[in-house]
Amino acid sequence: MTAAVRSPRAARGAARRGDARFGMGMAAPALLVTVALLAYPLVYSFWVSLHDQTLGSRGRAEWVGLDNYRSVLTDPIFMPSLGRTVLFAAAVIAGTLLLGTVFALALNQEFRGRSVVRGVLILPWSLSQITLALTFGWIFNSTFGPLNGALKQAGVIDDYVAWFASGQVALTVMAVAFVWSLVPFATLLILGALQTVPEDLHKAARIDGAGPVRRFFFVTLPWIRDTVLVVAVLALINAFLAFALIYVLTGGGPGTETTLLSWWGYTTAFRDLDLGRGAAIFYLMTLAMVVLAALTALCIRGRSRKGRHE
Amino acid sequence: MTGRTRGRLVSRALRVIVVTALLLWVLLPFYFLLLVALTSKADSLATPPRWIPAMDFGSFEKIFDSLFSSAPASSPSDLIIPGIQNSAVVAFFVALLNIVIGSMGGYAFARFRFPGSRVVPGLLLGTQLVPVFALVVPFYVILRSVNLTDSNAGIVIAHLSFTVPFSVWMMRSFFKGIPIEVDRAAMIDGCTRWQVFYRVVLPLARPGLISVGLFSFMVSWNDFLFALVLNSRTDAMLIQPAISGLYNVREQSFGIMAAGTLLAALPTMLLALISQRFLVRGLTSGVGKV
Repeated sequence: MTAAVRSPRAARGAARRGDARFGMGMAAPALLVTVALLAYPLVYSFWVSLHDQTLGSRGRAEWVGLDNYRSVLTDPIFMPSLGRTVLFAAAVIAGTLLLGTVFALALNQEFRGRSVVRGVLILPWSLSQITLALTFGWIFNSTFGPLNGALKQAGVIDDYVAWFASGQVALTVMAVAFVWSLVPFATLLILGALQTVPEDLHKAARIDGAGPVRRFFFVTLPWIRDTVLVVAVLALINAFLAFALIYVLTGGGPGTETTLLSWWGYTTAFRDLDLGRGAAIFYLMTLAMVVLAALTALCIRGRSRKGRHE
Repeated sequence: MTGRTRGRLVSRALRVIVVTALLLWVLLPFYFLLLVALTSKADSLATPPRWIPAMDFGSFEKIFDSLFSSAPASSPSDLIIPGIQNSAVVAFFVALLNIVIGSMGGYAFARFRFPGSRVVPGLLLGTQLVPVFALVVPFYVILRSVNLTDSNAGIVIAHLSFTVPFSVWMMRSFFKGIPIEVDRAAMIDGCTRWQVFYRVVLPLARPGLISVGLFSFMVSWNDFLFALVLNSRTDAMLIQPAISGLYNVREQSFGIMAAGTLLAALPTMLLALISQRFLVRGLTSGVGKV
């Protein structure tokens, strides 16, 4: 039993060890990036949020415990911006799901030019938030923008509407811009799910006398529900990050009427230069995201365990 | 029977309406941009606005002027062309590094078993839920302390943080689609593990590499937050902060604002159109399996 005479099993064990080592080596750069550039900053961000760190106190940060969180949660700006963020996100999710589903249902049928339409669909999704902001800033420009011009020529309005003068209308405009950019991707995802719905189910439902509307709600929708949930989470993430749109279009105003949490965090950290409080705001948002996403994942997994998908 | 044909007619009419609405919904904003970008300054201030482009390329000419003058930037429109150049470099490196790191990591998680090889991929996908906001303060503090806030190298590093995990996940699903027998056959033919990966499997995963490259290029190109916060030098400004300044001077020229927007959007629009099959397949491969 010398090392030279290795049994096949030992040889296989050595190969497996070699495999493991090779695998770890190959995964190392990715893990390094993830740990050093993602996990560490996340932890560090938490550390910053526990300190009184302003730009003036270069490097020297004073431990303040949860004071930043306390001051954020009791700030008079907090509750209104939370409410606005929730409403904004809800509007974006609802609009995206509604239009995405309608468009996907239309594209799920055979017709000439379908591939062209699908091709064009990806365009809005490829735009950045800044280009989105500039585009909708122009469309909704109150003096020269095409929307006011068209509405007036069509006789819908008598006087030009000042879209960005009121916070509520401005937020609605921004939600529309968001929905515009998200609907294409939602359509493609939902379309993908629609194409997996078995034709037999529809046939059976039709034989049972279900009309198209009832077939949609009782056959199609349950089948694509997981995808719809995923789209909702994607829309939620995007709506939470509505910062660039606000940066360009309203600057959080008039007053603080369009201040969403993301914008509040940005101005706190990088305009008031209060990095600790800014980090606290962002951390609270992260926690909210993770909790919501985990709930969604549990929801999806719970159902697929019940046996429909697996 | 007549009920049936009527139903079919109704559904067909409905489809025509919905598809027309969809096309208008997607394309009208682009048309409005193009309209004002190709309109002279005087005409762009007309009420009611023109509905047919005047084919006036003055706004584009103004933007491209900065290519031929060596004078320092005097207006936001002078920053667009340099911004495109800077962003192209940054996004190129982000894409390249994502292809390299993503394919290696993806292959490791698709093929080998080692401590963590089961748990980590799910965590990598989970990182997509971390709002990039949570990273911007720490990156700012860290990069400032090592004096990297005056170059775009710091931005490349920051962009890797939220692109690499997803790239690994995407590549993993592409490699899983390649039968493991391919690897085994190459091993029997005497390839080392690295040769199996580099010479045999990697070429087969080319669609995946393209998706990863394109996707990370687009994410990097479109990022605004990091580009704004992590770089303080005007002459190294990236494209998104560069065009964001156009809105503040819009009253001077809506044409330049629209032309700049189109120029900034053109690269990602073209990439998305050319490669949409890859992109959609790659992205849904990640999302479908939450």
